[in-house]
Amino acid sequence: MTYTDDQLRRRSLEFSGRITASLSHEINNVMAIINELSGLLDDFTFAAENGRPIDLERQKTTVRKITAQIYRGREYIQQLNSFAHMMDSKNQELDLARCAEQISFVCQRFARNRKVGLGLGPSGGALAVQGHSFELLHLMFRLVVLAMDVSVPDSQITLQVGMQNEEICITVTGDTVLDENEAFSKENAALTGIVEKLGAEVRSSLSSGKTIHLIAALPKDTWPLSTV
Amino acid sequence: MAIKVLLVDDEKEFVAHLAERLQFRGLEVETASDGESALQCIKDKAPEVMVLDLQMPGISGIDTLKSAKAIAPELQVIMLTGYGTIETAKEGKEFGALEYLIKPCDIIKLYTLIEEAVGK
Repeated sequence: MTYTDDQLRRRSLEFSGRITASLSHEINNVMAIINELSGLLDDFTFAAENGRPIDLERQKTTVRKITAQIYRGREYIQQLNSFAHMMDSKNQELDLARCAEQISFVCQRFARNRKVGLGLGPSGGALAVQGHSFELLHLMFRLVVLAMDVSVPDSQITLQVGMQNEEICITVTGDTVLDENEAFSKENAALTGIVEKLGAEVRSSLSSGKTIHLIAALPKDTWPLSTV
Repeated sequence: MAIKVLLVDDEKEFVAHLAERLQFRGLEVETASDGESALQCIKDKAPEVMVLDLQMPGISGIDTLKSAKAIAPELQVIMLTGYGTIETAKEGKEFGALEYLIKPCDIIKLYTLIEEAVGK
């Protein structure tokens, strides 16, 4: 195993640790809200037993809120389960747009903690690529983290996938106060391993003096036969 | 006189419901969703106890704790933490926090701790 392989392995473990920790934290928050809502129902019952009139509407609203939290929790569990299965995924045809949706979802907590918004750019629909979903998500994650590191608070980061000049590209844009070189050198070490592994080419540019575009172009061998 | 409590957590729904449950038990409750607004609330409302989440956007829970103690040394702080920040919660005790609880927490346990914090 070369040093680079070892480094990439550690970076991959760190990536998977951060995602699973974040999702489990969100699930715990859902549990905490359900705990308070069920506790409220308990409080209402106690009050009724002690002669206070029952507010049926309030009870119904509280039950509906519990149901909403259960659905919210289910979404996090689905994402966590899907992510766990990606780690031993085989090389296969994937929808890159779906990968972008997943990374956008699992990175929402990181974005909130950095006080930035994170969303998806306009989608051109499904975009087939050939590869390992874990590696593609890792690449997207590193680009998003780099964009967060260089973005100003209260700004919006956009993740987009699509064809650009006959290349399949992952593009992350955000508002920065740094110049292009400063911005791009921020997290290169973490990004480099996965970029090399995938044989991708990463470039950056600034537009309007403050919007940084981080672009990862995937190599042609990640294109499925149907695309070439 | 009701005990004045400040709840600080970025999960707005969690903090709203927990506030309601503590009010139901006779406490006077203010809420904040980040460290900056918590520090402002300490200056404006002078709570006796702060229940503080450790993972928040902007100023971290530990930095909020340090600043809060600098503003109001007599303020009693109970930290709320998920499993990922237990070590940070232990560190918080070194900076003057009274105790930490793991979310989801038992309301009786929290209420008792708040009462103990103000010596009631």
